[in-house]
Amino acid sequence: MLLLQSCFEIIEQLDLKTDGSGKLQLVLNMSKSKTRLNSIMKMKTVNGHRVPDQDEIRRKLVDFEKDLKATPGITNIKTSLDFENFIVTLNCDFVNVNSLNTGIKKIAEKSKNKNPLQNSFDYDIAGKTFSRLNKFLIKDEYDKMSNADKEIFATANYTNIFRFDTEVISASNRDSKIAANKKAVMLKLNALDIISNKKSIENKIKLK
Amino acid sequence: MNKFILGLAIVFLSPKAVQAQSLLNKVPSNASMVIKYSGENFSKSLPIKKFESYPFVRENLFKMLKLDSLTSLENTGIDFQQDIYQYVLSEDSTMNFVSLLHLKNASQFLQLVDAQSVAELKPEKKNGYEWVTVDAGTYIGWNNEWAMIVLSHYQNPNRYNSYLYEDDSMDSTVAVDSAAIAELESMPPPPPPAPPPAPEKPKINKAPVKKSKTTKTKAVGAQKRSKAPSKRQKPALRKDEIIEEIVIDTATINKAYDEEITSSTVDWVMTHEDSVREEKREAYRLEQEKITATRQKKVAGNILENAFNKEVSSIVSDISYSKIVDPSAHISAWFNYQDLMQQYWSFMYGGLLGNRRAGMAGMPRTYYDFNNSNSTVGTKTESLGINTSMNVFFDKDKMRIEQKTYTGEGEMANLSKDLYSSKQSGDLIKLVNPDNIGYLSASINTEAMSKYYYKWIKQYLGSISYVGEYADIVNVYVDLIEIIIDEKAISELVPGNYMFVFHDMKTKEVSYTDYVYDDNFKSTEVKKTRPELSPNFTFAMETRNEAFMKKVAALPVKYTKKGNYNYQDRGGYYELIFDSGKNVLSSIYFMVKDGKVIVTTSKKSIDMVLNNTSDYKLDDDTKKSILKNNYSFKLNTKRLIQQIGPEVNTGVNKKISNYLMENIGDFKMESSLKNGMIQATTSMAISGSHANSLEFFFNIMDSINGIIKQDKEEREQKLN
Repeated sequence: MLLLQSCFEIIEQLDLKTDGSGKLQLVLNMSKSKTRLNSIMKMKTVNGHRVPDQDEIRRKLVDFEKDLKATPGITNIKTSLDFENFIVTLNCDFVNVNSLNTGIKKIAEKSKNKNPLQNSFDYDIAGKTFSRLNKFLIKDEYDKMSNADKEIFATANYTNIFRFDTEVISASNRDSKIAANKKAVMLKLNALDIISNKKSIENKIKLK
Repeated sequence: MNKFILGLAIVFLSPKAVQAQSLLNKVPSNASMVIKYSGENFSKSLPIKKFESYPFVRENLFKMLKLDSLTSLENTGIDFQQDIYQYVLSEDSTMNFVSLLHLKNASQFLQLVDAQSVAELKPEKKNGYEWVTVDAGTYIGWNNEWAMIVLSHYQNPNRYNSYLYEDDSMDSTVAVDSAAIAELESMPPPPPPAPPPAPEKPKINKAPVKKSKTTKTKAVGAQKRSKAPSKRQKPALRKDEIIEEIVIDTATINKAYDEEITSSTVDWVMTHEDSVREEKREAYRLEQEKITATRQKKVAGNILENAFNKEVSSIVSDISYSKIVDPSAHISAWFNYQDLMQQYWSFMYGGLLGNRRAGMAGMPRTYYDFNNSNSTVGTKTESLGINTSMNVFFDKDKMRIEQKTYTGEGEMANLSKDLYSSKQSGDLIKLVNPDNIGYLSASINTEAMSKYYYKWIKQYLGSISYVGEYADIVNVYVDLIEIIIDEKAISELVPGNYMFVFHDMKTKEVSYTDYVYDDNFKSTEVKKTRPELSPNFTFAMETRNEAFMKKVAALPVKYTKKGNYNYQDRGGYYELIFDSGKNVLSSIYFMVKDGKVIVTTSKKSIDMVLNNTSDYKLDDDTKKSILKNNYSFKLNTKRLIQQIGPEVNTGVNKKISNYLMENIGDFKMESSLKNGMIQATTSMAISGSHANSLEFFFNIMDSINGIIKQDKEEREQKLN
C-alpha cells in the first residue's frame, strides 16, 4: 500500500488558433513518485498488477504515436519518455479539433477503455465557442478497485490549460480561472473529485 | 466401604479417563503434518462467548457455517473445551486433510453438517459410526463422542487426448459412452446459424438439453430439493443421456473475449463436427469426475474405517512427535519435512504429469494396507528426516512461538550441531545501538553449512518422485560438487558471523519536476524537493581473508568512469555516492578492517570502526541474546511505525498505524541448539488493554476492520 501511495498529475495544454487548428500537449508527470516508481519498476507485480518494463512502455507509446500519425489532420507528433523523472509527454499539431477527437478515441480504444469515449473537444468557429467535453464515467470502475489501488488517486491531480488567439469572454466551469491577459483558461482539479463526478472538467469557453 | 470408595474413584476419575482417550490416538504415525488446538487453553484465553461477540466473526464465520446470528457456536454440538486435531495424509495419490473433533451433542452437529449441504444427506451406517458424503471431496464420519471430517483430493492424472478420440480404433479403456457418441454422430448437422453481429464474438452456448432415461433415486427429506442450486452442483451431463438438440446462440457475447476484441469480425461458427467433439470431451470429463469421486470416496472411507474401528499406530508413539510438541501450547503444528515433500511431489507428479509410477514412488515410507483388514494402521515409531514443530502460546503480555527441529538420524543431528557450533563475534556487537529500530545477528558455521547443504540437497532431490528414482546418480553429482568446492576456503572468506543493524529512517530531500504558471498561464518547468524516508543501516560480516575482501572493495575505483558511477577511495574506506536529490540514499560506505567487511549508509558506523571506538552502550539482555544464540533478532515496532509515520499520510493508514503503535510491542527472535535440537523462540509483545495476546489478535482484527469500514463509509459519503 505504501508503495503505491504516489502522486501524479495529468496536464493537458491546448493552444487554439481562430481557424480551429492548433497544438496539444499531454503530460503525465509522476516525478513526485520517482523513487517509489524506481522500486516498483524493479518488481514483477505490485498489488497484483503486472509491472511493465521500460521497453514495454516505450513500445506502447510508439503504438499510440502510430495511431495518431494515421489520423488525418494530426501532424508533427512527438513523444518523450523520461524514466529518470517519470514524465511522459505527447505533443502534436492538429488542423481541427475533430481530428484530435478521432485520434484520442483511437488511443482510448487501444487502451481498452471500457467506457464509450465521446468527443473531447468542440470548436464552433461561427459561434466563437470552444468546449472541453467529456464526463469521466469511471466511478463504477473506481468502486471495484482495491483500497491499495484507490490510494493512487488520493493525491492525483488533473490540470488543463487552453490558450487562444483572442480574448475569453466567459468560461462556464466555475472552478476554472481566466488568465490576466484574458487569452487563456486554466482548470486544476483533484482526481477524486473528477472520478466521483463531484467536479467536472467540462467547460464552455466563449471567445471574443 | 471399599466399594463406596471405588465408586467415588470411578466417578471422579471417569472424566479423566475420557480425556485420556485423546483424539491424538487416532492420528496415524504416517501423517506428514499434525496440528493440535488445545481446547482447554483456548477456552481459558478466549471463551466462546467472547469469540463470537466479535462482529467480524459473526459476519464471516457464522455466514460461512450458515449459522443464524442468534445461534451460538456452543450449540453446534462440537465440544470446544476439548482438543481438536488436524492432519495431512497422502494415500493412493490422494491428498487428505483430516479434522478430528470431540462432540458433546451429535444431533446438533448433524444439523450443522446438514446446513452445509445443498443436497439431501444420506448417511451410511457402519459398525459403530455413521458417515456421509457432503460433496465430492468432503466426507464426515461420527459417533456419539467424536467426529472426523475428511477433505480428500485426488489429482486425476488422465488428460483428454483429442487425437485419441478422433481415432475410430481407440482403446476401449479410454472409451467414453460409445452409444451416446454414435447417436450423436449419426445426427443430422444442425441448421446453419445466423451470421454473428459484428464486432461481437459469438458465444457457443452449447445447451445440451437432455432427457434422462434413468430414474433418479429420491432423496430422504423432500424439503431439501427446494434449496437453490449451489456452485458446487454442476449441471451434469451423464454419459447415458442423449443429446436432443444443440442450440447455437450467436447473439450472446462471450465476456471472456470482450477485452481482446478490437474491431475485427469473428466469423467462426460451430460445425456439426465441432459439437460432436465437444460432446466427446464433455463425456470424457464426466467419466473422469466419476473416477475421481470414486477414488476420493474409497480413500476417505478407509481413513474413517481405520480411525473408528482399527487400532491405529498413532503419532503419539512417534518419538519425533512427542519430543518436540509441547502439550501446554495453545496451538502446536508438527510436520515431517521429508514426508511432506514426498507427498507434495507424489501429488504433483501423480496428477500433473500423469506419472502414476512416479506418484507411487513418492508415497510415504509406511502406509495403510487397505487389503489387510487385520493390519495395524501405520507402523512408524520414529519419523526419519527432519521434524519440525511450532508451539504457539498466547501469554498475557506476548505471543510466543517455540520452534523445535529434531532429527533421529545421527548424521543429520551431528550436522545440525556443527552448524550451530559457532558464536557471534564480540566485535560485531559494537555496531548495535539499543536505540535503533532493530537488528539481526546470525552466527552459522559456514563449513558445516556446506556439508549440511549437500546432505539436505540429496534428501530433497531424493524426495522428488521423478528425480528420486535416480537418487544414486544425484548422490554422485552432489559428491562431485563437494569435491570441487573448497568449503575451507569459503569458510575462511566468510566464517559465518553476520550482523545487520537497522539504525533508523531519516528524512531526505528528493527532487522532483513540477510546473508553475504565470498570470497568463504560461507554464515553466521547475525543480522542487520533497522529504522522503531514507533507510539508515549497517551490514557487517566477519572474514578471515581480509586481503581478498580488500581487493574486491578497491576494484570499483578503477572503473568509475566506464561504469558511470561515483565510487571514491576515502582512505580506509570507500564511498559510493548517489546523485543528490535523485535517490533516497546519499551514500553507501564499504570498509574492510580488523576481520570485518562493512557495508553501511551510516558514516558514524564507519568512524567507529575506523577509530576503534563504540558509542553505543548495549544492555546486558541484548548482548546476552546475541552472544548466547546463533540467531538473534529484535525489532522495535513502535520506533519503526513512528519513523515511517510521514509516509503514512492518508486517513485510514494513519489511523491503522496509530492503533498499531498503541498496541503492538517489540518483536524478538532467538535461536540456538538446545538438547541436541535447533530451537527458536519468537515473541511479539503486546500493549494496550487486552486480557491476553489471543484476545489481542481478535481485538486488533476487529479494530482494523472497524477503521477500514468507517473509512469506506466516509469515502462513499464523499463520492456521493
